[in-house]
Amino acid sequence: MKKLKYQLTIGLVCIILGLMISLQFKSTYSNRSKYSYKRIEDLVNEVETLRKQRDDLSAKVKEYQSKVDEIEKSVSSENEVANQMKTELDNLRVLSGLTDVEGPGIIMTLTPSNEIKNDGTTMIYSTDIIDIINELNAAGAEAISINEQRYVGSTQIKEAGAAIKINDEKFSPIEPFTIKAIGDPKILEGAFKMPGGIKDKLEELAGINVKITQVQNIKILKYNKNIQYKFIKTGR
Amino acid sequence: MIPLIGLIIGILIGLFLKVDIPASLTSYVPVAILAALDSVFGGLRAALENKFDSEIFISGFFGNIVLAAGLTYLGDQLNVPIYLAAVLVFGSRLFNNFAIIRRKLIEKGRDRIINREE
Repeated sequence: MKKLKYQLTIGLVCIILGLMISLQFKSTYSNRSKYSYKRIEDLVNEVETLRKQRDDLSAKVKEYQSKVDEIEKSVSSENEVANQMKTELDNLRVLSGLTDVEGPGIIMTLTPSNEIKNDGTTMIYSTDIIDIINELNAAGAEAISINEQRYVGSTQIKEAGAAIKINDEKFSPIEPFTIKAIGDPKILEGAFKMPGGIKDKLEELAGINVKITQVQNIKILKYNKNIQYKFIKTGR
Repeated sequence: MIPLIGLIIGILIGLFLKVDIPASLTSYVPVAILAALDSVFGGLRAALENKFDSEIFISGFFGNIVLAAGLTYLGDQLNVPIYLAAVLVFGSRLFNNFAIIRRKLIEKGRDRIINREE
């Protein structure tokens, strides 16, 4: 009788031991462990180093940018022609989205619902965003950014796998999107108040919650990628 | 016999259970397994020596697991491979216990043969 008790106790503990062993086995053989700890550690370190490098480099870019600004200022203060050119350059920069800009406008937040209603979770499609951008431009928006990505002439908004790619940055379509636009806040918001407009369509058909707030001062960051032209030549 | 069956049942449950150990814990489980293995061997040995006490056994089992995992965690935080201590101690104890179990079993077997001959 006493012997049976020993064996049952040990047997019970052995069940737990077996459970641990097999779970560990499974996780060792699963794909996740294809890379050894060492390898993962190395990769993490690499990411850290690269991130630091990137931060350093962007700090340097800022530094050089301020130097360029200084030089431009000093040159333009000396010479009338240079002064005019500088003004033109500044205007062009603003136009092409290469400067941070501020002004009154609206902030739109698109929140896909993840309540499990009739057809489960909803997601944002790139076409929804394009429609909104179109509407904003039609309402006279002067600068637009989507999730802090400045909308410029070469901005793409398209689905890339499961994500939405904007200015080569990927965003999850089930996360909220924030669209900022500078312009007359009333006109911009009015563009979405039309019955049967995009806002209604998104809210009723696509199940996306759209919130629009008028803001007196929004800051929209500049386009932060390098623009390079390979094929075009200037014509007259 | 029952411990073996228990072990097999545990392995089967583990295989069919759709539970994955979170990646952050994968370094602790091996040490915990070693601790558990040590306890089980210790228990078997005690049973052979007729000194088995289920309270001591169960508390030792869970205590060792927690301590081993805790030491590993501490080592991770301090960047010192403390888990090596656990591996070393449990490993050597495992061999020790196994040697004693083997001796006991052989002695038992011999006694039985001698009894039969008499």
